[in-house]
Amino acid sequence: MSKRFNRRDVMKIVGGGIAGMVFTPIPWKLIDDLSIWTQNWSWIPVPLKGDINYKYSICTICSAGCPVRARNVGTQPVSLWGIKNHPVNNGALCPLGFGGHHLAFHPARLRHPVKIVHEKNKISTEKVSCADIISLIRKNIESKQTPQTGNLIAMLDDRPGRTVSYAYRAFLAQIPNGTYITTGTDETDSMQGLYEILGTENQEYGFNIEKARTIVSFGAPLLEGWGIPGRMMHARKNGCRILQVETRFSHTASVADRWLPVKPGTEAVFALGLANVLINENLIDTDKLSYQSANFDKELKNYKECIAGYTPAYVAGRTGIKEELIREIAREMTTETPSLVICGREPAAGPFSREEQIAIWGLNFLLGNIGPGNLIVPRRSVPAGASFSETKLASVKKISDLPDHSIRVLMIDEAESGHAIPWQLIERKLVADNPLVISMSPYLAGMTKRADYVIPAPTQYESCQDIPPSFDSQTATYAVSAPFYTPPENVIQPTEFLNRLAEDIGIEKTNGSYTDMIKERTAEIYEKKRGWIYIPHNGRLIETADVFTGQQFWSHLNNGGYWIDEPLEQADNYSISLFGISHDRGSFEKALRQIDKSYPSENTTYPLALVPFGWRGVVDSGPVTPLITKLYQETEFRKGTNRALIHPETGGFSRLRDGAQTTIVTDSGELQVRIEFNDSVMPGVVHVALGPDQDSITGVKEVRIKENILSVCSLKDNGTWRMTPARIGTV
Amino acid sequence: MNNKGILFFFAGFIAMLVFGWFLFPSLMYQKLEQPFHFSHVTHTEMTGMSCNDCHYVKSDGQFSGIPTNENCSMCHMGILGETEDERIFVEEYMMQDREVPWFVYSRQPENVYFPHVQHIDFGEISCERCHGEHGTSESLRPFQRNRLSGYSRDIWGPSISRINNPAGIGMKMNDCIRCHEQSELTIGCIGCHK
Ligand code: SF4
Repeated sequence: MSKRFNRRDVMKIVGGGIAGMVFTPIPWKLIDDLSIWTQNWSWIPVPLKGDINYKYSICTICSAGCPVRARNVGTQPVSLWGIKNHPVNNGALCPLGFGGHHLAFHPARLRHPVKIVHEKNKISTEKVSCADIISLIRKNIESKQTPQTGNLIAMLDDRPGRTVSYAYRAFLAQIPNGTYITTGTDETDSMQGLYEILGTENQEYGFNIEKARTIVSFGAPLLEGWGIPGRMMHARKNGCRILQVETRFSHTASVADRWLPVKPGTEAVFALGLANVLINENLIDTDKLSYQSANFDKELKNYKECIAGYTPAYVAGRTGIKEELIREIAREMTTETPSLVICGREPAAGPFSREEQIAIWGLNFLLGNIGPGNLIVPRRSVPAGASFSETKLASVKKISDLPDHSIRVLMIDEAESGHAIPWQLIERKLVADNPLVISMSPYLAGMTKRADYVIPAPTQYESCQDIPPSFDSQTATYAVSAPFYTPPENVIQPTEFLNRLAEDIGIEKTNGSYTDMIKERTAEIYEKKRGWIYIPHNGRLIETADVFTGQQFWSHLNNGGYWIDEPLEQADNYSISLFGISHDRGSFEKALRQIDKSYPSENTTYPLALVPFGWRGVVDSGPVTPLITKLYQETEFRKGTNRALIHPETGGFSRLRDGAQTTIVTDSGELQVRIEFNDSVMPGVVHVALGPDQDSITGVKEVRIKENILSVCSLKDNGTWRMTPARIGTV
Repeated sequence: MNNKGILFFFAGFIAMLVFGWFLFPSLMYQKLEQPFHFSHVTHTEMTGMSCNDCHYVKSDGQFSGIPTNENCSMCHMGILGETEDERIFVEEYMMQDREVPWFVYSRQPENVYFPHVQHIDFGEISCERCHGEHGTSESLRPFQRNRLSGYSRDIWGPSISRINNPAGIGMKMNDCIRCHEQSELTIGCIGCHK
């Protein structure tokens, strides 16, 4: 052994020290302390310190309008929570709602009017003044365009029924070619089939979900975000059974009592198969139905002939659901009663076509579900407020009903429906030559990225907003979302922008501020002295008639109160049309034959059925709260954008491995996706996820327009895109 | 490796074990004295007060935390007794209307919401379960401040390894989870991280 202590010996001591370190707390403790240290950097925002107080308001992220209780430090909300036992939602909030108070600070927030400069797939912004934008709109209004060159000045509003919606309609009624449009991508649109059967457009209906013992859901994400989520969760807790008819093994399907995995595009065929069993096995109460509907006998005869071909054997072959199971489900619908049938819509894949909706909703009529005291109940509309009741309003049009290339100026109200809107649906309606698109949005996200100019609007809890009833609510309701924050200086309320525009073009402005308009609406509700108001502070329901003054009624609403109307007791006698009022038997049958042929595709170039999927409130690419990153990025509890789920068999056929990057090719283009094998997916089907776009999570500096699966879905003339023939390419 | 090599390797190995288990913990924590000493036992035994006379849950469910001068002013407007600590408190804080900048042994990170009311009133957990014998202490022990995170040693717990920490020792998230599991209480992330 050499006596000299050399460099090698030092290395050995160090090596021993490093090996020894693993057996000490040093590395583990340092990792822990370092991670906590990073939480304490001076620029990391922390909740304020101070007196805790509570305020009540309403979440306006989607149209469900869930009541919230905010825990504030001073004036700053630090947490939002549902209100236990609230009659509207039983106290539940969805994950988006829990973080609603964070949205005002989202990195994609806009605080000044901007012009958006579009380069190839990339955008940047330049500050402009509101007056610049107004003068551009005025020039377009004054330009002498014809219908041939495209002359519509349109406002797109996907949350109709709010007071601001009436203000838009009043404004548009005053200008030449003013057109008020919706994309029809919200949940109300999936009820159009029901309204067609009932032959009514003006009478609103809602659901008595609490009374249902069985719900047969055709693709409705009942337990993930449909209508007011708390109602469905409560019904489920009370033992309501759910039978989920859906191709994909969705979250709802995974917790339903039965999952009925029909082949894609065959939901309507399955519904007609159930109708066939109900009628032919005499499971319907014909006496009750003929009492309810004057023309029932004639309709039933026609309908019976129309669906005669949809025998359980035929339907089993088309849908992949066994013949005996089809009979069993139909019988269950008349034994596990009352049973409700819901025609849903997938947040990313969009609504069913009108004819499919009619086929599905028709089952409710056969089950005797329609009318007061039943499961589908009529409800009153909420009055618009005195000034709008007496004003001429532009009519509500669906964007798919407008001629292509007819819109010259499009203003977009960015209050989201929570559902996906393919940009092609809008783009094809814009004039080819220089359309002007203005978005009124708090963020540079979602559709706003496609606009030319943006007027920064107030966001959640920054201004007084009103909440008309959710589409599923069984009575009329009305609430006011009271602000917690003051909006940044240059943020402009959309009604204020309209008023400035009206002044510039010399037409009548609306009366007072937006809050005044909402106040006026509440005054009209109060005058009827009907229904109750729920006071969240003490959990009491007060009769509207017992509130002394209109001012007091307003004050209750402005402090988180929720007005709930009385049920509408109206005679349950209808003139129904089981083919829908806009169809006769011939055209209905023809449409059904076409739907029936859509799967499997005979197209050898595109042998797969592409069906997008996503989650309400996230698929519209609007900004999302930090909580959502936990569901998408950290846990993958929800599938992120462009994740393609296929059956391993389909993967093997295309020589793909799990996790491979590849392209989905359709007639409309191609998109890069990442493959994920999943045994629950039907062979021959590819489900591609539409999740939040990265900018809507982090608001990055260089904003890009990223294509998602909707850009390769084929958009039909009726505005639907549920299924597209596709193939898998390779990269 | 020859014998000498093995010897050096083990020397390094053992030295690191000694450093890691015995020296490192004291290097990681800086000992800070409280502004002055406070005797819990004097307050509880001599005056018959209990924990929740000073650390109480308000009527709206908020926890009062460490008492402010306002709470103490009922008795300490003037100097009581002859101790140096009493003099410092009254002369340097009460009379000058300055709150005492106590180092809080159990302060949690900002992203944690801990409702005392849920645990004390509904969970019927005693103060000692988390705060040990603090309520019967004669004086305040030094506050051991983590040099990186800034939090108290009480959060990590006295044992640097945290192996087999008994219930009520340590206040890290795992300690909360363990206690909740033992009590068969489930709680999601947003129960504490709102
Ligand atoms: S369902 Fe809609 S309104 Fe209700 S909490 Fe979620 S986002 Fe808000």
